[in-house]
Amino acid sequence: MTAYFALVMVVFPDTYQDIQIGVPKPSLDATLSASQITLGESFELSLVATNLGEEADMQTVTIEFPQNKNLDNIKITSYDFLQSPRLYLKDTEIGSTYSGGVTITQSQYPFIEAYNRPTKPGQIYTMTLQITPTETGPYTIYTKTVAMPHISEISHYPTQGILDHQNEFVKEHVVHVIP
Amino acid sequence: MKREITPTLDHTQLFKLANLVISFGIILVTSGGSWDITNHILNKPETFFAPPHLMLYSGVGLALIGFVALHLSWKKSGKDHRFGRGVKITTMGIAALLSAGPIDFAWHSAFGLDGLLSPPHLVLIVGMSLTSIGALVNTKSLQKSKPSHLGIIISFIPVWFSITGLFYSFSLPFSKTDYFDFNPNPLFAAGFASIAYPFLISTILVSSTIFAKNKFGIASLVGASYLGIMTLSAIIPNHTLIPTIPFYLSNIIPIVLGDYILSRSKNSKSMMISGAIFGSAFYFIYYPLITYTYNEITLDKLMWPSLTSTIYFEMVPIVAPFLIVSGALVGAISVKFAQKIFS
Repeated sequence: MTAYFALVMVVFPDTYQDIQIGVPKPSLDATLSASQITLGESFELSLVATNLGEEADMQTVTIEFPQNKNLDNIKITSYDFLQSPRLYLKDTEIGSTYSGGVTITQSQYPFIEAYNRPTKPGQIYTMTLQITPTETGPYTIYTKTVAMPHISEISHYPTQGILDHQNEFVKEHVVHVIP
Repeated sequence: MKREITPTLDHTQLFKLANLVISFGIILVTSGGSWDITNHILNKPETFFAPPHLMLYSGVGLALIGFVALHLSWKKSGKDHRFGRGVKITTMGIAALLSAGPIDFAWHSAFGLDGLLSPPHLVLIVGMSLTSIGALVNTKSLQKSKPSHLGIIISFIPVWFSITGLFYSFSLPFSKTDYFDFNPNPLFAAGFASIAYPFLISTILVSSTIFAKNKFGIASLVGASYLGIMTLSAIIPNHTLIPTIPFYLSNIIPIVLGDYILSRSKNSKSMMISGAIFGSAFYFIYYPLITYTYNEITLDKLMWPSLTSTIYFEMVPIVAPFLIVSGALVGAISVKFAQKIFS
């Protein structure tokens, strides 16, 4: 039994400690169909997500609408992620600071989250949104992608820039809506 | 001279075979269930015809065929009183197994996805447990004079797995859904696991040896089957756990050692030592799922499939010394229970 306990408590744990955990590296490419539209018109936001690192247990792609009160003017026109998208409204309990749900905060605006569980390296997933702004002026959208487990700075994209309501970096996209 | 051949049906043989088919069916059901839990952890897309589900349905079908044959042979034998209790328990188990399907459908229709612990799953697990226990009781009644080793092994494996399933329900945090939070309190879950798992391991392995009249190898084969099925259903599907297979399979060491001690002596002290050996290894035998139970009260890290082994081995120095001692105590005490029900 001494040999057994030495094996399971010392030898094997030490051996497995040296095995490196694969770090996923999510990437997101967002393209707007127009930079300026007339009120009443729609534009498209095309998203292409991939994982350039090791396999991730989960990769989320988030599209946030800081000026919206709801998601009524947003339509998902194409979607090929593994799991169905989740829609979040304002004042919903959400995870923050890349904690995967351990640290909780309240959402300040609506957003859509597409996700894959798991995300294999190199696989590409796409989504297209049709958006119809309801007011004139600059219309802002934030995008980001996060891989879980979140191991280092390369487990999220973008790695710098504006911080959103989840205290996570986002990329800003603006469409000008003219009367 | 013409010899007249009258075909005669040996009802006891048919009963024995049917009983084995029932146990084998429940092995398939429980293995499919274990595989399904792993797929849920990995969040693999789930359909009605997902491979673990097909395995589970095949098991229920096989158990049902075995049950019909068991009933027919029992009836033809004039309802032999020796098998009355086993048949009764098996009947209750099969009834629960069959009713679990419609209950599950109704629950899904009303509340969507369910967690590990839910009324339909509880009916299913209780059904599996009763069916396998009934088959084991039948095996015991069949083999009073000359035990069949294969029969003993096949009868014990589904009992171990189905009761493990029942214990999982009360010790794993997999039961929170949009409608209900049936997750056990983390402290209760850890306390329950610390007593229930060593008790079960020791009871199963000691009982199988008592049943086999202390023949060496039976408990080892039951244990090896358990480790093998868990490797196939809970470790291999999660590719990040594959390197840990040698660690998991090393759990055969305490099983063989305990089995050897049991085969050498029938006195209570030796049996309790064997029980203590079996019980002391429970934290390692119940890898990888037990990680979820003790993580909640120690590291409280966010569990991801790829981090399971890292978190498990990080917990070893924190929880294992205590669990080895407590598991040994529970394992030794449960020998008394095994002696009571199987001697």
